[in-house]
Amino acid sequence: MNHYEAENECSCFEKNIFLFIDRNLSEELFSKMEKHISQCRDCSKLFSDTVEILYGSKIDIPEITDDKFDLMVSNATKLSQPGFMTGILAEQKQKKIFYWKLAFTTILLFASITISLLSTRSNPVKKVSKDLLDWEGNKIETELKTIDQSIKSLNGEDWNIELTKIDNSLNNLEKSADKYSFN
Amino acid sequence: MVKALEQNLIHRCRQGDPDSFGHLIKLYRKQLYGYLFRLLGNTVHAEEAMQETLIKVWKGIKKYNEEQKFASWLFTIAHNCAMDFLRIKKHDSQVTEEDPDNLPGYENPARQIEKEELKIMIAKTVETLPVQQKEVFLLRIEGDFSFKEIAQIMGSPLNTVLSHMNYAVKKIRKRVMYESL
Repeated sequence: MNHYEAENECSCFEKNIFLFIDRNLSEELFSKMEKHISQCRDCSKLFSDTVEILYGSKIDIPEITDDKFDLMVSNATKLSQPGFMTGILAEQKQKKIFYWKLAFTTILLFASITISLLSTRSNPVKKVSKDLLDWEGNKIETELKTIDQSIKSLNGEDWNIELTKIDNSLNNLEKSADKYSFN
Repeated sequence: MVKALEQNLIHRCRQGDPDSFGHLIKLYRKQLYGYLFRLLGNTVHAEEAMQETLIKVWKGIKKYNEEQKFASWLFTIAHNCAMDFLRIKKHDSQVTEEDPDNLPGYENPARQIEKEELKIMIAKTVETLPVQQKEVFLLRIEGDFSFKEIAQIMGSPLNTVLSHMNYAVKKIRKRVMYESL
């Protein structure tokens, strides 16, 4: 085994040491690690130190007295029933919550309808629509006025003048055409 | 045998029998109190956290999934209660912590044998560990849980738990080596 492989095995051991202690490794890796600590002094020391820390560090702590413990149990069981939030009680509570939600939503809906009906304030959406329609209406009206004025001007004397002009032009054309006649 | 007894007691607790609840918790009383005491550092907080744990266990016994180990479920609740206490403790500077030197097991280290001295040294170092490292360590030592179970109790990935333990043991080793020089 070269130096690199040995270093690799040591880091693998260090990484898995707690799973090794718990025997929570594959058989293959466990045997590999077992073999490694039998050969590697550093890892063997690490293993024995870790085991010593894990199993040798349990200190004597003050125990809770029987009276205190019984009182705690009594407090816990007196304060509530087991599964207070589960079973029938929980179902009933869920139902209650649902009905309260339903009632609240209904009240809210009726209140909003009533307020909108009684309110004197104009609907901003409606107001904008009306302004837009007014603007469009004015624009169309102006256009119609322009067309009407044009038609009126055509119906007046200007129209006759224009017609006379056209008539003269046609006569002139006819005369010019006669000049080039072969007859 | 113990498993059958435990299941029987759980069944009775679910039917609302407070005596069975007492017997059930008695099976883990020492482990549970030891874990809370060492994690929270004083008897007052340990007792309050234990009371809170018992209330939650009694209330939630019907929710307990029997496929899960009862001890893991119990310690998960205890872990959450302890975390709540530690959060409160952070903001409560008035609470005086008991001096580790005055705790039982710390008494007169000069007269203790070498093993006892080591225990004291480790216990003192454990007191100085960051909460998560301390928790993993104590769940292992006081709760006798495997690292897989600790990961389940803490709701953390196994690798995180192993990493916390690694750091904790490294610190303890360093301290032990330094002290023995």
